[in-house]
Amino acid sequence: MIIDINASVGHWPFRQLQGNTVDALRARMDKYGVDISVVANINGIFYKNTQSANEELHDALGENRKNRGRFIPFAVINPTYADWQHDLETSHSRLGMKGIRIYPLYHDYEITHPSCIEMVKMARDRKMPVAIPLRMIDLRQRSWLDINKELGFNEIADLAQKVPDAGYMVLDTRIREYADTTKDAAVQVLKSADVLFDTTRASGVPITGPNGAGLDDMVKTFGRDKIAFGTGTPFIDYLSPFIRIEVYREADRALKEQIWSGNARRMLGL
Amino acid sequence: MADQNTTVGRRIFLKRSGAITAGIAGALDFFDAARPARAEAKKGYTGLFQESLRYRKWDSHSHVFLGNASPEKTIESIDRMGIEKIAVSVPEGVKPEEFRTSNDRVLRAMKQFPDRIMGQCYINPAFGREAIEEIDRCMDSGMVQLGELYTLYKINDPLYYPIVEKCIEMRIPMMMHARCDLGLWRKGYPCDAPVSTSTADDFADIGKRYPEAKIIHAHIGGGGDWEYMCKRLRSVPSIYIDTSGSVSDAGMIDFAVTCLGEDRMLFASDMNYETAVGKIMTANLSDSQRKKIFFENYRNLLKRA
Repeated sequence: MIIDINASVGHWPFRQLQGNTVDALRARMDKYGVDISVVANINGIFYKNTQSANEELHDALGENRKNRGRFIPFAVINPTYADWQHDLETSHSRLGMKGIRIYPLYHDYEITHPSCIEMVKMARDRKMPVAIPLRMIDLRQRSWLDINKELGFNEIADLAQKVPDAGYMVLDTRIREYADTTKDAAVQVLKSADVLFDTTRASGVPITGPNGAGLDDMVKTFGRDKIAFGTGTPFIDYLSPFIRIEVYREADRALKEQIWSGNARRMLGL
Repeated sequence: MADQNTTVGRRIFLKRSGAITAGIAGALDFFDAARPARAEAKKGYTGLFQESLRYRKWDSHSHVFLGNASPEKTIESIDRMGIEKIAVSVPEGVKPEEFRTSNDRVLRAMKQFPDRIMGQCYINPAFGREAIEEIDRCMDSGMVQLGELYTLYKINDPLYYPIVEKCIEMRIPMMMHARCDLGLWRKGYPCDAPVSTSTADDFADIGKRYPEAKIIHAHIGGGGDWEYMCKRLRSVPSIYIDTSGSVSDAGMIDFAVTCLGEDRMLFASDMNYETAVGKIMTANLSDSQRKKIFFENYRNLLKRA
């Protein structure tokens, strides 16, 4: 079984995306053998009222019966915007969203802002994992209209320390060469928290390239129960993330099964 | 090398925070079995990966002795990806004795794996006479081209003119680091790259000055705006571009082929081995186009006759 914990649909305003609809994503999943994708709507980054994006995603998923059982929708919630509590509650109870995806940099708040803490606690109480992309694109190619910051492990650890019993998914996992150094204390927090790091950027071969991460490094640093397959689609070419796992020969069969789906199934309660 | 001119410390994942270096689980006899006569008719990603192994591949841009890239690990990595040969450099050093030392390390890697590793010669154009002598020494020792020239000077700096002319005379390619960050091509925006970093605009300039040269713009996926890059180089047919870099955006290779044509594109990894293959295999290319990009274009470029 393969679960992709890092998929998106929707529009990206700075570059044309291909295959960024639910139908196109499902076709891609069928071709590559992905059983389930955890998906959120990119539009939620840019709409002030993110709930419109969640409703769009809900409607899109409901348009085709073939989507049933293939997607796990996550709601985009902005804890600085009016009545976000109602958005989260509605997304969970009425729209069937199983987790939330948050964008502190795009929505312009500190990750330890009291409202963010409250939001994460609310998600925790509903057993909804909190997915946090470290970035949406490589900043070197950003538009003049885009942000020029990205999150790191230190910030994720700050949040995990405030709400240690929530479930987290770190997306686009890698630390760029010029980012802040990850503190040892942050590593310890993340090791003890319920966190999944996606494999979108992690190399399975012995050599780790510039601005990459090593799968074996991730496993040895955080543990084999903390790594989960992710593609970053539709931003990233869809095949490379699969090759990364395929060529990770240091992994035994059990570890690969955990990466492909086991760890995600545990966090998602499947 | 897709990033700054740091020498060591290329450990990326955690950066000085207790990251663990990966071990190798022994040599794998992968390469001989990696290229079946035809792709296995498997469904899913496995079939697509198997399909990629059908193609001969020469990697035109990578490195050894940077980060954890020992020659042994390099061979182990390219074996897993079905890459037949790899061209490497050590782009470090300012003074002649320093860049000679870097090239000596490449020569050692070539000697260690003579059928797999090709060498690229690194120089500093500010030391004109010594740079020319070093090019002669490296080519006489079996290296195949210059690379990865780095950010000491822009490629269209007059200091490079005699270097380009030397390469024309010897009929060898020269490959240079490039970036296309917003702050480099449009002033007023922050950028962490040195101002002497070459951009596609600089390559267009040198390409028009020396249309007979074989100049390679490094890593379309090395960071920066690849759409800007491709559009800028569209009208400069003498400039080649390699496909390496950590960025593996969907649609990137398709866009490059549309702008530049497949004959000007060279397969490369810059130590990002999975994306090097994945980005080519997911592009909407014909079998013939893939063969050119993976192998034929670079092999033909290295022919000196």
